Amino acid sequence: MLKQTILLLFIAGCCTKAVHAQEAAAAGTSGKLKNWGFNSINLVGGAAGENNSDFTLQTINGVRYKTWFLGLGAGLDAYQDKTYPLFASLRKSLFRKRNTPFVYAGGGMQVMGEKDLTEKEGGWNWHLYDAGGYYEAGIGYYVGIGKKGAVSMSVGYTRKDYEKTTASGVYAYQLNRYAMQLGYRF
Amino acid sequence: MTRINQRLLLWIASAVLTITLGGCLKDNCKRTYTLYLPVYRTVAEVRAQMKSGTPQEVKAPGKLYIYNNYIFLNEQQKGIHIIDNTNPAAPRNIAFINIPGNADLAVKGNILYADAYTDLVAFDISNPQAVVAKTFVDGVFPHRAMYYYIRGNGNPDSAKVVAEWVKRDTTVDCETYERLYSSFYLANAADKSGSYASPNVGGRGGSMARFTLMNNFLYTVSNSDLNSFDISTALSPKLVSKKNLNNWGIETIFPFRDKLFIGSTTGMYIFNVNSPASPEQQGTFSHVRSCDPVIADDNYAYVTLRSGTACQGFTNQLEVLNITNPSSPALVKTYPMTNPHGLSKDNQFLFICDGSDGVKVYDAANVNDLKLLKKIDGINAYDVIAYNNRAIVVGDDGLYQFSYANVNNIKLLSKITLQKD
Repeated sequence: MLKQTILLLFIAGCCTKAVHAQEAAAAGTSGKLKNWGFNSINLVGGAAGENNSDFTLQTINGVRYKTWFLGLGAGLDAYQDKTYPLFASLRKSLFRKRNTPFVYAGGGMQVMGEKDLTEKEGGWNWHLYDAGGYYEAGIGYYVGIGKKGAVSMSVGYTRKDYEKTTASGVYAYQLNRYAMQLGYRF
Repeated sequence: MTRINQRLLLWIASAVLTITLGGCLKDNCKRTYTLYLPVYRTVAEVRAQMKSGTPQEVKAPGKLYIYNNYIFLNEQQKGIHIIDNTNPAAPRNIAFINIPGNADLAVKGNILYADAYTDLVAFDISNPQAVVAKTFVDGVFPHRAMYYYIRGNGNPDSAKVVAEWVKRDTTVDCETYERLYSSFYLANAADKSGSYASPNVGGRGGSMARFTLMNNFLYTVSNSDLNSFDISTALSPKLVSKKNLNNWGIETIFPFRDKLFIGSTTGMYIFNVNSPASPEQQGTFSHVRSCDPVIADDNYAYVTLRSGTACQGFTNQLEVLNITNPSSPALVKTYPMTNPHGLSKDNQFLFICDGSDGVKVYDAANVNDLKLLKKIDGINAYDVIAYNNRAIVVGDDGLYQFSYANVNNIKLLSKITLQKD
């Protein structure tokens, strides 16, 4: 399921690039943004919380209309117990320019990246994971590069929820972190 | 400063802020766990309630004992269900004997012997629906220490014992749990199957019993001792000998002819009862560390070794031992298993509860070449008693009865489904 989703998003990213090539050819060298278009945003970053910090990866692919962007994202969140977030993302640029601040928010589900350990396999250390929701929000800045691309820089808040059931009880985690991401939108 | 430098500076500042402010956000962690809170009563009150009452749902079955048309089924730490099995296709749960701290049982004639924490209790079961406790032998099972030490001065009215446990699910902040509860409550926390973290329950009946009867004697094993009770006067059992086996891993006892076969985590002991009041060790057979119920017939002993939480070790197999010379048991052959628990043998048919792999039925006519006749899937089985073409199986979801009159067509006769909390 997760691999299929990531594959679909990757294909969407490739399609986006192809569409951009057509847009660029049509727009010539003016670089002026059309009302709508496809965007792929690929980000690396970090999440820092109460107890530690770790890296994150995201790819978000979707549709831009004027200053709005709505896409689907998949990623890797290595903070504490590794998860793969699958989420919807909404971005709003403040200006219809290539260099502009933006705000973003998103939310969705996760797939656990950690393996369950059955009682037979792990004895007293058995544990089962149950992934929960994923949420994020923040602010950022696009810096236009080249004809259509832009560097995306953002800071914000991100939260991931999951449960871990062990022999001594059920742990329900809500992990609140600051997020910082750097990437490229094309 | 150029615009690029300004942006770079802004980005670096954001990064520094993110990293340094990370500690300001707090993770939220809730821990939900199950507590079993003890309900205390005086010894006199507890003993007054040791009698049969209305039948109760089977929730956590332990050991079982078959006697005539009745199945006596232990409810771990709580008492004994009496099941009228006159019609195995429709067994009837007819009564429940309230016995706090009960784990083991044995029946002879109209007398049921059961432990209640450290005490041995003899019940008159001549009327299964009006069972009453007749005799109490105090403090003969000191390894069931809770009752023994709390009683202290021996005055039944001056001390209180745990009569029952009340289940309570509790959710607290993880930090609060670690700070306030972990060291105190860990011993009482239940695992996912509802068993206590440190129950003194060695098995679940049949081949996993710690009580057995032979002639006029009741033999019991603790973690380290073999006890002999003279029950020639059935309602007045007397502890006549206690043998220390110099082994803290004693688990089960099984009688065959004039021998007692005792299973431990490190090996099997054979005792002869030529002098029934004082059994003598005749032979031993050592094996790797694991849990090992044992049964026997005239020439062979069958030992299952399993790994797991309390059993340690990594071995899961059946060992067949030649006991023609009881002084020197010899390994004949081993057979790999999944996670074998209790076992039973009726004529040439050998039944093995193999954990999640169900119940396996072998033709054991030739111990060098056991033939798997049937595998009953879908049961996570703990123990089995096979006799008279019927196999009674304790699984984690119920008490099953099968007919193996035609071993090629084993039929499920009935199932008493466990009531889950």
